[in-house]
Amino acid sequence: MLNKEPINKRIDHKIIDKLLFELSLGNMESFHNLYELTKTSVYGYSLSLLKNHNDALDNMQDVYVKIHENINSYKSNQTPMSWILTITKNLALMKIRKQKKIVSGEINEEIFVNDCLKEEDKIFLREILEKLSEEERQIVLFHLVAELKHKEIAELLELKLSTTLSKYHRALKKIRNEWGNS
Amino acid sequence: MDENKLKNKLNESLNNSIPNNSFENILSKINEKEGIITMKEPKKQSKKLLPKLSIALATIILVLGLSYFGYNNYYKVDSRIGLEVNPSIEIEVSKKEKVLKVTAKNEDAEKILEGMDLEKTDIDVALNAIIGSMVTKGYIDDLSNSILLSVENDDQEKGEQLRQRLANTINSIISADNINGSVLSQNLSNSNKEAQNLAEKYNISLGKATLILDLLESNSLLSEQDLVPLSINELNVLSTSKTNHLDNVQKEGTASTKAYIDKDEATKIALDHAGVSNPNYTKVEFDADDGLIVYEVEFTTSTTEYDYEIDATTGKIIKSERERNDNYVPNTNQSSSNNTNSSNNQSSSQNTNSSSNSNSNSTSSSNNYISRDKARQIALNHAGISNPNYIDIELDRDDNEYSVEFTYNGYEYDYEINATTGKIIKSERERID
Repeated sequence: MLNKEPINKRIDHKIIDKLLFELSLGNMESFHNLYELTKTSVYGYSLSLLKNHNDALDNMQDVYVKIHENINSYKSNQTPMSWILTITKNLALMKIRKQKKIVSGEINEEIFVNDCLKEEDKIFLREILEKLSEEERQIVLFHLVAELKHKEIAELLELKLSTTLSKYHRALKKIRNEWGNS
Repeated sequence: MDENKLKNKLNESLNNSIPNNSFENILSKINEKEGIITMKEPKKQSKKLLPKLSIALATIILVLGLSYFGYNNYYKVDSRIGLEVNPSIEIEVSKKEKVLKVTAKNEDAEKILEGMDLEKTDIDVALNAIIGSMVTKGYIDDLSNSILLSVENDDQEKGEQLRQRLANTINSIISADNINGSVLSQNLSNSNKEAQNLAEKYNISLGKATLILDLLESNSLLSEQDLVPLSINELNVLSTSKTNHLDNVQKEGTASTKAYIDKDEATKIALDHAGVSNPNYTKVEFDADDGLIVYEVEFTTSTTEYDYEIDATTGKIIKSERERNDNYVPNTNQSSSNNTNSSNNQSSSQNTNSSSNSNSNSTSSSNNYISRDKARQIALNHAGISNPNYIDIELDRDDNEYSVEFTYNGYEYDYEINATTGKIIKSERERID
């Protein structure tokens, strides 16, 4: 069942809210569905912050452990994706602090150690991670992977809506220039 | 590469990097953790206590250096005590509890300590002088009655005893001035790197940093930036809200909310603004938004959900949001992705039971969308604006709605519009600072 799902799932706040609610009642199947629906976003954001495949994977797993642990502090009605992404960020930052590792602008080679990645994917992700600024990267991931609205992104990143919109369009332009119309 | 293509590619590449066994790893991490929790059960803290507290912050940090000979009992720093209200003061104390050194950590603290020579006095005498001066100079009063006391000592047991004794002392000093104070107290550990980093990053005391981390722990939605600018009294007020609690801080007394409008007033402001007189359900809680204490007021009517943020000091509306209530019913069957989509298709007459009426699914809903221009026009007309600064319009086919976002004249607007009927499902306006 895991691998059959189309990659292009819809991330819908209401569905995630429902899954979280069911998880709070102890439904582990909902937990699994939640994971399937949100893992790409959580992994992508972790990768963007930690810039290293192994750390990102590790962080992603910790996020779900944390969600499971703190499910009772989740209050319905808020945008659940933002809640999950905030946890992702907090844990990633904690990881950075703990390791006392200052993640520099360059991409760790380990990202390419993963056998799952096809050559084409590696090059593509590397371009995205390298060519965009930290903020642009986050905005692109939030909008295209986590499917947040610009308004929600603005709130999460504590930016003005106009700023996220213009940064988003600038980032798309950069990617387009890099990849042409292929 | 167009936006959709990029989206697919990005999702695919990321998805390919996640190994298939990740979820199993998560489950085993959870099991491991729960195993540990069970074993440690007896040590679990019974400190979700006390709903309320207040008074500026006093942090007491005691560092217990191991003194090797008697001589050192007099001159060696044994404990470090932090006091924070808004003035932030650090006191170093010897093993005999004599004051070795008092340091002002901010400008307000310099005013408090002006002309005082506290060296070699007993810690109790010093506290009396310092807190007396805070009251006299108006840092502790009925409007802001919280103090944070932080004690740091290498010997945990000793630190804990000292914390208890000093918290009591501070309490009685304040009440002698006829103020109902609220004392927050905590033991600090010099091995808490996270707190140290936070303290350095924002140039705040270790005690305040530790308190902030405690609050963040309980509510992942709060951010450092929301909390750092707050005073101890404000943090104390915040910890009274249901979603927040302090696990490692002892509270006595109640945070003063006299500087704020009360909950009923806040509710009334929101209801008046919305033009609602009999909400079905209302919730009012303290919350923080970017260094400001606000009331979060939520209520619903049979058709609409409202969400307001009201400045707790001025009563000004910071944020207002309304959304059509589609009677979303959590539903226990698994095929979650199909059920909720259809609920927005029809107008309010049908919204009683959203789970079953999938009369018009993907087949019929695809073609008769209103145009983007039309959606844009509907939103702008509703807002009464003709030339917004930035505008972003997106069609969400699954939800059958347009999302229209724009900014104008210091406000952000966010609309959701039914893509077939043009009906406004949600409208939101918020100030940008």
